[in-house]
Amino acid sequence: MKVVLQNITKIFASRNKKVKDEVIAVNDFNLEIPDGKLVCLLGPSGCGKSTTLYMISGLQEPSSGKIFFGDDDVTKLSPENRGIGLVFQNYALYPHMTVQQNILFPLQNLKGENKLSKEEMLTRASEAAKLVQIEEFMDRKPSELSGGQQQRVAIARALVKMPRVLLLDEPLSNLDARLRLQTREEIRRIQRRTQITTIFVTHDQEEAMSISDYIVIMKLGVIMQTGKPQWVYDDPANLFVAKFLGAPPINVFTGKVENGKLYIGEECVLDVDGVEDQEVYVGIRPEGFILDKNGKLSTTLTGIDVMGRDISVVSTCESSLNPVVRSIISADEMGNIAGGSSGSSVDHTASADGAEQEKANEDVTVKFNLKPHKVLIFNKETEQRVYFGDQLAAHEQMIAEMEAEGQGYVTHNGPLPREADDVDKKATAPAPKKNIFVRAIDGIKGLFSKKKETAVSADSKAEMTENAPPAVDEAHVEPTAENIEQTAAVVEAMAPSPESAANEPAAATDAAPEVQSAPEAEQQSAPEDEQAATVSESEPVAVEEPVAAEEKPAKAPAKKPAAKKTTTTKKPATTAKKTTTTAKKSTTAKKTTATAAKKPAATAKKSTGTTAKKTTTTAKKPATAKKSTATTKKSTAAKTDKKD
Amino acid sequence: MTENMTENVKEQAVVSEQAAPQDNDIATADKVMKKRDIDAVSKKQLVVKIFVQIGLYIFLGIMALVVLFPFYWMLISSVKTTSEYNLSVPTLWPHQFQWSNYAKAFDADGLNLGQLFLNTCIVGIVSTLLSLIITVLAAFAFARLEFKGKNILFGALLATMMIPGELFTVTNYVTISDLEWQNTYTVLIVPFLVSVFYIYLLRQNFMQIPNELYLAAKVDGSSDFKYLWKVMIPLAAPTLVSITILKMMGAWNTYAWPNLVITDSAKQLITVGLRGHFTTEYGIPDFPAQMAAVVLVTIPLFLVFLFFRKYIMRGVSKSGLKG
Amino acid sequence: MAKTSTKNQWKAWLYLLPTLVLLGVFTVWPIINTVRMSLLEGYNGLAMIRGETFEFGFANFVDVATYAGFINCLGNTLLLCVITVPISTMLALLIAVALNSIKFIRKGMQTIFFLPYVTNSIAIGMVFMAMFSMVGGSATNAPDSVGIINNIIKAFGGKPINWVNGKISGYDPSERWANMAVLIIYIVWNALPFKILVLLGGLQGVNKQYYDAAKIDGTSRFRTFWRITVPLLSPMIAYVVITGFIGGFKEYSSVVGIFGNNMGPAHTNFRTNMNTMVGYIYDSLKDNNQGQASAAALILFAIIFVVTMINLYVSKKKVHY
Repeated sequence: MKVVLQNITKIFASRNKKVKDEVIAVNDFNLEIPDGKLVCLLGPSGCGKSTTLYMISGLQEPSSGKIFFGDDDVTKLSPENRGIGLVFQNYALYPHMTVQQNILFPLQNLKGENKLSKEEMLTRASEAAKLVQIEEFMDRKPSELSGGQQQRVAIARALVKMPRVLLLDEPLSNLDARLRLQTREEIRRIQRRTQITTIFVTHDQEEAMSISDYIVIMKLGVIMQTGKPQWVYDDPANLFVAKFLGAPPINVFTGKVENGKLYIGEECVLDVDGVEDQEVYVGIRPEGFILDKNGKLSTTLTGIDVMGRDISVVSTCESSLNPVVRSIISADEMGNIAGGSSGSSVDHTASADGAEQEKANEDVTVKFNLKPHKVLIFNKETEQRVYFGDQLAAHEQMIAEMEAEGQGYVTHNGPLPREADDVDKKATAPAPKKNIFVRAIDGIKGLFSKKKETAVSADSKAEMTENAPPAVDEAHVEPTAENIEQTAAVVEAMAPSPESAANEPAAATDAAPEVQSAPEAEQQSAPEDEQAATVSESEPVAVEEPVAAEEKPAKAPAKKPAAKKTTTTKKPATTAKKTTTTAKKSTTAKKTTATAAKKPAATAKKSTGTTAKKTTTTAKKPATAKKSTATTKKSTAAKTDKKD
Repeated sequence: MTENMTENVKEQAVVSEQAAPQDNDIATADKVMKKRDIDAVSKKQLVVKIFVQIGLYIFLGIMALVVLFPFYWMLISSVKTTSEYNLSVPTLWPHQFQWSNYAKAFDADGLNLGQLFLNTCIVGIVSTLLSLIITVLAAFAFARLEFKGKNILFGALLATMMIPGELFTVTNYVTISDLEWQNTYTVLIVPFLVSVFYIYLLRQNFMQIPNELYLAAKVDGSSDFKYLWKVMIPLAAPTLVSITILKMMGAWNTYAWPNLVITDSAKQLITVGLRGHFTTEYGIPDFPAQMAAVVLVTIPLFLVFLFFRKYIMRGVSKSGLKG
Repeated sequence: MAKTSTKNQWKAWLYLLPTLVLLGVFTVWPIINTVRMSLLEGYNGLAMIRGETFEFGFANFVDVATYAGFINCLGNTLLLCVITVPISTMLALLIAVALNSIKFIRKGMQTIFFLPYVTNSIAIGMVFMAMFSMVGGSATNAPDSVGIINNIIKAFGGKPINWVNGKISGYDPSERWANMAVLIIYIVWNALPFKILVLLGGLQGVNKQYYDAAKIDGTSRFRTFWRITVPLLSPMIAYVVITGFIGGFKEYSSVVGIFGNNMGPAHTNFRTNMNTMVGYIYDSLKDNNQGQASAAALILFAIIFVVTMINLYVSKKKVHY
């Protein structure tokens, strides 16, 4: 069953009635999903991908536009009349029914001529169970199954009524890393077997790349690009797509094109014939570097990571927008250059011994040549791709292939949708450093005022739901925890580049409704500068004291300094005690912030110190504590998949 | 495309068996579902949706009427003249508002409504204040302080919640007779100062406040009491408000105990006085005056409810017991 | 460390002092004393003052259990529980589900349905009494005054029913059911708000995705209600039923509200009136018959305990947590 979305727009009334009237979750969305294919809607949180899925399912109605299944206009049809199966993120298995009852449930709903006999139902149920390999669990309750098994039951329940379209809403996000890999293969297998048109929503680019026939990359309700995963990776239409796909992420530099030559900083790195002179962003995939002592791009070496067959050279460069430039060199190649690849200043041996390396590599310059097809140029203003050399031909060939396959090529050609913060970030690149903290504090304050009551009182359930914080908080807490480890690793190793610090404020403030929350926030393998940015969000643990201080500045002016210290250091640790994972996390988080903020944040640190003692009287504390527990809870689930 | 599909199906023999009927089903379903059918279906589902909504509102409307009718009847009856009230065809809106019913209710022989109000207020306020203090202290001890046998003691307290209050009443009646507390405010206040349920509620609330705050206060050298006063109480304010209101409502509504221990009508509480005065053995009671008195008793509660709806509902959903 | 903990021990007991003293006098001692009094045969406050002594034995329990008035009270109480709890629970469930599926004026509706809770049960009982009342109406003379309900019945051509307090020559057993009906209506009306509140809270806690999933599968509303809502809400339903039973066994003030202090139509005696267990206990106390009151209180406790246990057992089997 082909699925066509025509000019779909979805507008939500804003949760916060005072601030804005409405939020556009999905904006003029046009997409044709070919029959029998598995298509991924991919994008950061708040990009409208789930909303799109729910509109296809009929659970939400588009504000305007039409949806077709085949030739049928189903826009006005309610979900039960559309013939779809939907697998929810949390599976939504009925907890009081056995697996078999769960799978039978949709069949028992059939009425009239579609009504099945008991035997037929049982046969269909056992067939579906067999398909997803859960026959032996038929008499168990969902709570007695592992996450992966529950997942499969959910798929069986969706498949048993033989839907015309199967929809999956982030079905893997609740599984641990290993199960996730296994289950996605499973989904792929089932989809291939049944040939049911399947639409899959995820924010994990790796998942999307590995599973789907096509991916649709979205940002803020707009399609950025569609196509086969590899194509999109090789030939991104704009900077956002380039940054979103790929792990490790693409390295982005500021540069310019002059007289057919591409410059990064002062260095001319590549010939780009036929490109007009302009300011550009240069994206270079990690695998696009060639170590060469005569290379044209020079960077300062900060470390070498050995990852089995590959070696990743980590360095910094002034023009880089990422805190570090990460290049992946195959081990063989590395071996070849060993001994001879030194930079200009110091004699340096690029051995695989990272630890030794790090001691010696202060100010070591590494030089690279670039592989032209791994270098992507984007106009600085529009962030749209600028093709050079063979790239345009390759691009045109791709479009031709796509059309031959019956899949229209869609990209976003206008100016990219941006949030206010997004613009801000770019315009005021070297923002004053203490802004990070001021903003973080504001953000946290906002959280407090929202959460205070629920956290504080022994509420009834009813009350809790009434006051439940909007989903934003969850969405935007999650990435923090996820990214902490990565970022911590990065930041611990080196001092932050000025660019990364400059980018921080943007993420720190996003307290907008879900749809508006910074897209970067949730994106797992986001470019590193953005990950660094999220660190400031993870600060509640460390920053809570300043908040308290601001609340009651008059109280208890300077008592015993010694006492202060213990309080400050003790608190995060005690909070952490509750779960083992928490402990790990918050210490990391703390370290991260501390390191990241080393120089720029001297002021903020000071304030932390002076104010710590007043926590006794602050009414805000429990909220924070609660929040950080929530964070860690989430992260426990999300954590594992980051370990690869 | 289709070739691929058939190939796939052939390759996987297992699947083809189950996939085949599946494909057929879908095919027929598609054929059946022509354009016009879709229109019909969507129209039908819209109609059903509207009807269901209308049905829900009708049901809720009727139930709401049932719930509200006694209040309505009470209000209009309280301003009717006796003759209008006794009409065989009842009027849903009074022809004539006879406000003097209220004056009558206030001045009724032997029913000193003003005194009863005053008594109830005194008892309510004093018992609520004392009860709050006792509850806070106990809850704090159970939530934050360490002492031997804490858990056992708390468990024992909780266990007493299972016993119906009437079991205590029997002995308490004897006790207060021995203490010669009859016909005093004390007897209405003291026996009910401790409510295990409120202690439990507040303790749970206190427990939610992170221990680190307490430790931090200890490090700063502030006393337990200061900590309780400056940190715990402000944080637990919503629960305290709930407790206060429920306790006040309890004082307002209590009947059995004062009816038992207070024989002096000057010391009586409002509910008892109200019921006692209008219990007529025979003859036609003056219903409008009676309803006026009932309105006077009911209105304060409604006002409190109006202002503290949230706290009342929160407290109530936890307790399950009235008053 | 040890030093502070001993200090804290001392302090903790200080904090607990008022609670413990009051509980000791008004809760712990009563438990002991009630058991003691119930076991002293024929214990009576006045006799006690006169210096009589009492033998240990179960005579109080035997007296209570065989006394017709008590049997009547027990019967009334059981009947009220068995009838009102299912009715009010079902009705509350329906209202809660309906409230949960509307958007417009939901908050207002919620408030309306909570109103009966914030009332004085005696006062509103009197309103019900007024609504159902009938004065006169014996075989020979027509009713002098009738309440709104009887007026409505009359408007439809029926005969006024002696719901609450009519003066009737001779005893008509059917009136007992009329009395019971008023009481049941009032108790249900009174019990609804709490149940709706709890059930609605439960409903709002149910993951909306279950309903989305059911919707996608084309589940009918009826089936959604019975197969999804009720099972998922079963912990709340169990809670409401258990507290409903406990409350039902302690029913007292609603009877007083409608029928007045003598717990029934004025002319009735203990065999036919609407008295309840708790009412019986208070009556015995007023008669200074503490022995029997204690025994009755203990019996009440035992019944509540057993019924709660049965409820818990059943809900353990049926409730899906």
